Amino acid sequence: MTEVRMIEASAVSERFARGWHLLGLTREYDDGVPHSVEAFGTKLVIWKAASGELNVLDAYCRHMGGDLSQGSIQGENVACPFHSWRWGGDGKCKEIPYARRIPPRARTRAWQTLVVDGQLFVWHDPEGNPPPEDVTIPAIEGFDSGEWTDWVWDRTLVPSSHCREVIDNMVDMAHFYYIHKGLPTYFKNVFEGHVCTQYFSGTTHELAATGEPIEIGVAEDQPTVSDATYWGPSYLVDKLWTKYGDMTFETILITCHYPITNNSFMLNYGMIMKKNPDFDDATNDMIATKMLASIGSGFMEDVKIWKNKARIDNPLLCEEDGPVYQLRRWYEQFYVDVADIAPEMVQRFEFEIDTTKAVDFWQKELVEKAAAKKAAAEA
Amino acid sequence: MHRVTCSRCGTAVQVSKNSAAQTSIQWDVDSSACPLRAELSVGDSCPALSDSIRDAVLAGELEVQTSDL
Ligand code: FES
Ligand SMILES: [Fe+2]
Repeated sequence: MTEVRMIEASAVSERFARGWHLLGLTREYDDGVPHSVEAFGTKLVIWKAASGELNVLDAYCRHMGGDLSQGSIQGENVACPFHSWRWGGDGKCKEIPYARRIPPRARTRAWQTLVVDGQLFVWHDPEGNPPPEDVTIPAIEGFDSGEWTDWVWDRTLVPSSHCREVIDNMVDMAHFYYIHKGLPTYFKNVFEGHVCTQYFSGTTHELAATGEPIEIGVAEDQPTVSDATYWGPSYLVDKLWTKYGDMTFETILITCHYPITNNSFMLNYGMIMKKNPDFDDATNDMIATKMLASIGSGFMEDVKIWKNKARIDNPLLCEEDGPVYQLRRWYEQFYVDVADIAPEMVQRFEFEIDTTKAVDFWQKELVEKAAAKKAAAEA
Repeated sequence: MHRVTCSRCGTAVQVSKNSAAQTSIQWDVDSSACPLRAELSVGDSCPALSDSIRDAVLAGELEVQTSDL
């Protein structure tokens, strides 16, 4: 009797990942009012103090539970809408206007922040430790040089999935064909320490459908060349070169998320584009906006899959699939205590996929589809 | 997994290949043991190690075979 494979799925971890998580762009907080974000199973308040510093606290006031994000900014502090207790960015209550004295234990949870290239991050660690020095968010070279456009940015809520789903994308070579109208010709992953990289080169359905021969296994000079790295559990920097005709657009695409609950997350994505000197700033911004919109509709395809798929701990893989198990082993490091990080979770692992069969089959399929479409149109 | 020793630095890593183009490399020593690592970006494989892997295949020491998935 042949055995049937069953899907296994353990309960979702109650814990949220240790690491830097991007909440938004700093420019979002310039409007003089406190902002709220639901994250890490609670609500946070973000405000820009008079001094210009961005602060993040638990939103629920430790006095009587008021929502600080509904309050107001008073100088350096945020004032609760319920009884106007004033909280500082360090988490201490600084003033209770109607009281003679502040209770000595009036302290709430302050989130350590980091601002890099106009992006605001908070550090989350279930053990309560500060970030190690080597765990940080890299700045983009030349960000302020004027050579790049400003951020174009968007976000989308993923309502019923654990953020492991978005991480799985890192190794999922075939889904780029089936979900994203791409055709990977070169695909490689490396995991090491808290870093996870994907090298991707490829062409598009449209170009492959012409029947023009595709170079397999070559990393350079493809219509799409991408060098993408997760810095920790949630922040992906993708250096992306996209060809349209004889023009190449160089972009830096950020894909990142923060967990809302352990079964929902907010996907943030944004990009800057190297300004093309042939165009003025407005045109460059417009191109970047269009590119991001098309990337955004690609994410919607992922979200559609995630909304309907099963959580699966034991994926059944073929040789053209990427190293899902090793990726998840890497990802696990962010969910265990630092003392429990096993060597295998952080030791270097490299994996290159053989795309020969896939590229050959996919191009044939696209050429046939294009021919059938043409025949139907002529009939 | 088969152990391949880099002919340049002597570091041994575990390697498997399920086709000529597919390669899987598991390090069980710190990658700083590779003298070229510091100059390479994280996603780049060490070229000397890649050569050693190719040599191991040519010498018949590393068999290209279907892996247990
Ligand atoms: S609940 Fe915030 S001041 Fe009372
Ligand atoms: Fe995807």
